[in-house]
Amino acid sequence: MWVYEKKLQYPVRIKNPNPKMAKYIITQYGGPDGELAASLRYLSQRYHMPIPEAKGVLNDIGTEELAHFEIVGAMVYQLMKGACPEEIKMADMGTYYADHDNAVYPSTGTGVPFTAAYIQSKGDPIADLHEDLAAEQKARATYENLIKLADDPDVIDPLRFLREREIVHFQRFGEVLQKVREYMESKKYF
Amino acid sequence: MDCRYPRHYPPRAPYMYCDYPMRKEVELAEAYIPYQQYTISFSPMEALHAGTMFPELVRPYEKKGCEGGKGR
Repeated sequence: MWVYEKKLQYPVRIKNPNPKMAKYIITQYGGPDGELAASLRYLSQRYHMPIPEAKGVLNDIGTEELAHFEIVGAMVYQLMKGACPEEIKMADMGTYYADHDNAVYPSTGTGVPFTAAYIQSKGDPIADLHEDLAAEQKARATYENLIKLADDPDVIDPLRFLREREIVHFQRFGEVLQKVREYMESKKYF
Repeated sequence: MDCRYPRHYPPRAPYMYCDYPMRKEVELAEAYIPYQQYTISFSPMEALHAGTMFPELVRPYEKKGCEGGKGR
């Protein structure tokens, strides 16, 4: 189970609405390399990890990804809040607005709804951990693209934080990969 | 021998990356990432700002300008 803390892991205080930026950022909410996909991937894969350290890391990082999901949701919400239909139309967000108004919905910027097809849970710990390492790199690359697209410091600041977390998670998955491999090798020689 | 990670970012942990415990023998067709070893930690506020409490994991991203599409 989880214990909820009623605050964001990293503060989001965006003063100026910007539906165009919301359209770019929403992919990290419900897109292929987004935080929801990351969380569901790790929280699903943890069951079949062979050692408790691996279960623990997947559990902890999967939990943190939920906190990131919340940060990205807050960013999209604040960027859409107060934007009038005319601005949304100008930002090419009209199709999103037609379906969702100013609400936050897990999809890509082009309106493809979230799907579990973005993730895998293979049952092979080595294969899954390699997917997790790749997922962290893809998310890091996405955050770098978003930072390039952004010019508002209020937007860039949380993006920088989220990008750095991907790097830390990559290191942790790399350590787990080594531990899992050592465990599997030790079993081979018994 | 100085074999720290080339992208220097202060304050940097005084840790030699070649001292990280790697396997003695690496094998083909395997991916390896060295274990991190604890050295020093940021204060909680510094850690929140950096996105990590470990100075050696800080990899800041600097946005570059766009020059003929080479701003990557």
